Parts: sequence; C-alpha cells; structure tokens
Amino acid sequence: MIACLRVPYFATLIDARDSGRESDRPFALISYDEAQPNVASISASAEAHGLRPGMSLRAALTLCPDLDSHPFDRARFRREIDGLMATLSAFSNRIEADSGLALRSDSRRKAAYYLSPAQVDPQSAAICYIDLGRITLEESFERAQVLRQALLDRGGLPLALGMAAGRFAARLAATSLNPDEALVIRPGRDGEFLAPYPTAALPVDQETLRQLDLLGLHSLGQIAALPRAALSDRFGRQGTLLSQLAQGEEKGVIALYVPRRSETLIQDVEGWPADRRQLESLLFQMASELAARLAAAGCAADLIDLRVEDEEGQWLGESLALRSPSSGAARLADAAFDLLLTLPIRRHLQTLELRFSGAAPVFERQLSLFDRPPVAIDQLRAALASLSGRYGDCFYVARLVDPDARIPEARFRLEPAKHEPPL
Amino acid sequence: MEKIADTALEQTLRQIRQRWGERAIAPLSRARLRDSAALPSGHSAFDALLKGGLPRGAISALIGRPGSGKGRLALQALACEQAEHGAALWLDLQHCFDPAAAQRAGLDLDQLLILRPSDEADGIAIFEDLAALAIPGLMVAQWHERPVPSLSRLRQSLRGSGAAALLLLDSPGPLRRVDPDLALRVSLKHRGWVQEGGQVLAFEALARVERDPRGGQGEALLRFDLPPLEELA
Repeated sequence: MIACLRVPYFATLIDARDSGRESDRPFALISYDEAQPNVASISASAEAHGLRPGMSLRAALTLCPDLDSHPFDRARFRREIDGLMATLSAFSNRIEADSGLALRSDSRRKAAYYLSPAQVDPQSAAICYIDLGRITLEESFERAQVLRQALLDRGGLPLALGMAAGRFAARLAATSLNPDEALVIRPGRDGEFLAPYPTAALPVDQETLRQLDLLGLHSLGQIAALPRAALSDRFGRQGTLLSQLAQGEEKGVIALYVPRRSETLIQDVEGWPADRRQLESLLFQMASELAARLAAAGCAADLIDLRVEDEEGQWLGESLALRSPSSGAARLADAAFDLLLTLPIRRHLQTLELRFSGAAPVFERQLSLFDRPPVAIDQLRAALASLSGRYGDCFYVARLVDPDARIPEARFRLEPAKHEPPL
Repeated sequence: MEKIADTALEQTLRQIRQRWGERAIAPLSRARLRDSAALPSGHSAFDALLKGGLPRGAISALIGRPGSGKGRLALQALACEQAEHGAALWLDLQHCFDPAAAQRAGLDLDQLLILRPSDEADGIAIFEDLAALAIPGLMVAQWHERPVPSLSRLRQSLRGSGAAALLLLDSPGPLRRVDPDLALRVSLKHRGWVQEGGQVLAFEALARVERDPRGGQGEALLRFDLPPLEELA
C-alpha cells in the first residue's frame, strides 16, 4: 500500500507560520535563481487571482497588482521537506518527496516520469510518497490516522492523504481531497477509482495527450478498456505504461530513504582577516575538511549553513541550498565565501561556523577501470540496520566453527549477520 | 634529471589524486581491462558463451535439474564478484545453502550474506531494496517450485545499478509469469560423467543460451571438476 501525502501551498504556509503573517492578501514566494524572476510558490488567495507556480513575476503582478511577495528561500524549504521525511521515516524506509519546485527543475530530465510540466501542481503542494508494504485494509485505515496525527503533531499543516496500491492512484486520490481529508482505495480497486479521471491526469508529454485526444480517448477508463498490446503498438513502450497507469497496475518504485548527514566545523578567527585571500584560504580549509568528512560517509553536500559571531557575541547566519549536490571542496568553498559576503558584517569576527549537509549517497561509478575499493560489503552492512527493521532478522553469515568436524553440517554454523549502527 | 622528472610526476599524480580521488589515475599495469557491464562467472567456457558473463543491472536465470551445475556456476560467480570487492548475497528459501560448497568455490564466507526471509515475496523485496541502493554485487536466489512473484520492480531498481540478480531454478515453470523481466535465460543439462581409470573426475553439462540481450547465443559444453573425495568426507 502506498500513501501519498499532499500539503497544498506548502512553502507559503511555512513562510506565513514562521513570519507570523495572517493576512489574506495574495502572497507568493519568488525565485530569483534565473534571469527572469518567477513564482516559486503561491498562497490560496493568490491562486484565486489566477496565479500559477512557474509564471514570471511580471505576469503575476499583471494578474494581481497588490501581490505581496518574499524571496523564495530554497534552503529553508529543503529543511522543512527533510523534517517531513524524517518524521515519515518512522513508518517506512521507502519515502520519496516531490514538490512543485522539484517538478519544474527536473522537468527537462528523463527523471521527469512523474514530473512532466503538465503535472506541475497548481497549488505548489509538497507531496510525499510512503511505501507502507503489504498491509490489510483495516491496517490502512489505522495507519492513515496515525500518519495524519504524527504530521499534525509535527507542524500542524493541513494535509490530504490518499492511499492506494499504486503511486499514481494514491497521488490522484490525495489531489482529489480537501486538506484534512483522507481516502483509502481498497486493494484491487485502483482501476475502478481511476476510470473517470481525464487523460490529462496522466504523467505523459503534451504530444501523447494530444494524440490520445485525437483518438477519442478522454478518460482513463477508456484507456484501461483497450488491449495493452494495441496501446503498445500505437505508442511503443509508453503505451504499456499508459495501460498500466490507467488500469491501476503501475509499479513505480518508491526510493529508499537516506537520512541526511551534516558535518560542522567551528573555527576561531582573530579579528576580521586582513585580506580577502586570507579569508578565502581559511574557508577553503574548512570546506575541504567538511567535504572530506561527508565524502567518507558516502554523501555529497547540498546545503551550506554559515554562521559568524562578531566581537560583541552577536551571531549572523545564512544558508544556501545547492541546486545539485557537490563534494568538490573548491565549489563548496566558493559557495561558502559567497554566503559570507552576503552577511552584513560590521564588527570584527570572533568565530566562524560552517556546516555542510547532504543526503545524496555518492557511488563512485566513474573511473571504474581501476581497482574498486572494498566498499560494497560495508555499504551492505550499513544498509542491514534498516532492512532488519523492516524484514526482521533474516540475514545470516556462515561461520567455520570446527574445521576438523567429519560432517559438513558440524563444520559450519549460520549466525545472524551483524550490521553497522544506523547512520 | 631523471630524478627531477620522477618527483614532478609523483607530485602531479598526487595533485590529481587529491583533487579527483585515489582511483582517478593509475599506471596501466594496475588497470584491469574488463567489461564492467558483465559479471564473470569464473568458468571460462560459460563466460565465452555469454560474451563476458552475466549482465549487470539485469535479472538472469539459470534453469536446470539438480546436478546440472547451476549452483556451482552461481557460487563461482559470487566468488568472482567478491574478488572485485562487490557484495555477495544468497537467498536461501529452502534453508539448504551448503557452506562447504561455497568455501570450495572460493567464497569468503565472512563476506557472504545469506538471506532466509519468511516468504519468497520478502526475499524479492529485499533484493529490490538492495538494488535500489545501487551497491555493486551479485544476488543469487535458489528458487523452489512455487511461482516467482513479480520482478518488474526489481528489474527497474537494478537498471543502471552495478548489481545483478541471478535466479536458479530446477524447471522453467515458476518463471511463467515473470519471463519478460528476465534479461538472460540459460538452460543447463547434465550430459555425463568424466571418468579416468575408473575414477569419476568431473561432470559435463550442456549450457544453452535461450535469451541474451547482448546477442549471445548457442551452446557450450561445460566441465565441472569434482572435489577430491577426502574433501567431501
């Protein structure tokens, strides 16, 4: 059973919660990452004015001249999503987040299987999928209650919860609900639930949708009724996928959740370093050490936090979420230095605190021509902790206990495999 | 002059390793020119038939009655993968794994993980989870009579990873529903014993490639040497 959690207007709700803003004035978070500023997330009242995530700021202001806006803080957003994932990790080790923001940034990649531009959530909702494994219908209801309660306890944000055998059906179930509602689709009834939905709900490109429309296929039920071979002949491999999705037999895999790891380094500095190169060199040293620590744990950094303490004991800080994870010390040091330059430092510095966080495991695929270090079995042992939690103690190793025993059965014994402590 | 050049070279190599990692550059003498897309079984005739070995990132099946050599091939392939520092796993659904045979095949038992889940679906789910982690290695499942559950998630998880899954079956029956998910399918048939001076030294099996995405096809006669009797005692 897969659960899909949907929190509409997630980023703006977080912003409102943190800033204490309660006004009903249309509000949007604006991303300045690209040449043309665009809307990253909107509030419910902004949606009522016709605003959509991804539109340019200029277009948004044309539609809604009294729009209130803040710059979009990607680092804070990522931290909130990470917090959400950490809460959900108590229920399963297969969790995946997908947010309206990730949708657009990934839409040009092949990974955009579920993330086609047509699928950009108009409410810029944060969406998480959880694979709850094989559970009965009664357990599903029970789990839905517990999940909702756990998330309400955490942040109090309104969320819709859809549960189904497949990810696609679970997402549509969650999308069809108002906040604070839940819908569990009985096992084996995914196809029945999906049948009335329009083909536009399918995560496919516009051209395929156009062709489906020309063929007179307007609902998922119509697609589900067609022989899979016919769809496959017409659309190739995508035809099989269309048929699976429409019949509720899609088998998307929810990725394994990798807990985030962070490394911090605190350095005393004697006054504001005399020149820029000195400061750059110091940051480079700190970045190198932190990047090496993360790399040793198989992670690359995607979030940088920098805090400085001035001579009067006042702390200033700034965070930066990288668009793609990196383990390169030079790149991370550059980013940390850029971050430092954004801080309004007016007094001499006393302490510099740098933190790198990352979740993406780095597997060394490049340069495999040469010897591979003996890491696979270590990675495996590290993974055993979470696997044992899910499947029970079913992992063993064979030990030679009596080399002189006459019968092989007495020579070896199976012992439970020891795993590394969880990360 | 030569010494200065050597020092400069060493310094350059050190800088490259510091920046790009220990394995970024190495003398050609250390390089092992192997086909990274294939996972060798350690049996030269079998590897030649399969154009290098079992395909990585895919599911393979060896089908043959007991005594046809499929277990031997699987254990040897695991030993080869261990030698390449890959992970080695054995899904033991019938609780009949033979550590002595594994040791004879050259496996490091301390580094071999044996899975004994409550049911076969859990076994496949564990394979899926491990494949999703993209840990390079070989996962072997010795199957029994019951139908193999859906492998489509495992196939998706394996794609692009450095891992491979291998199913060992006595007959093709249990594969009926999952056949499209298999990349490689090889059948093995015991052909006879090799005797010398009245003593049985080995047995031969005929391996026939029924499907290979890399275009491998045909048959090959494989010889499996038997261990001396004193080792079996």
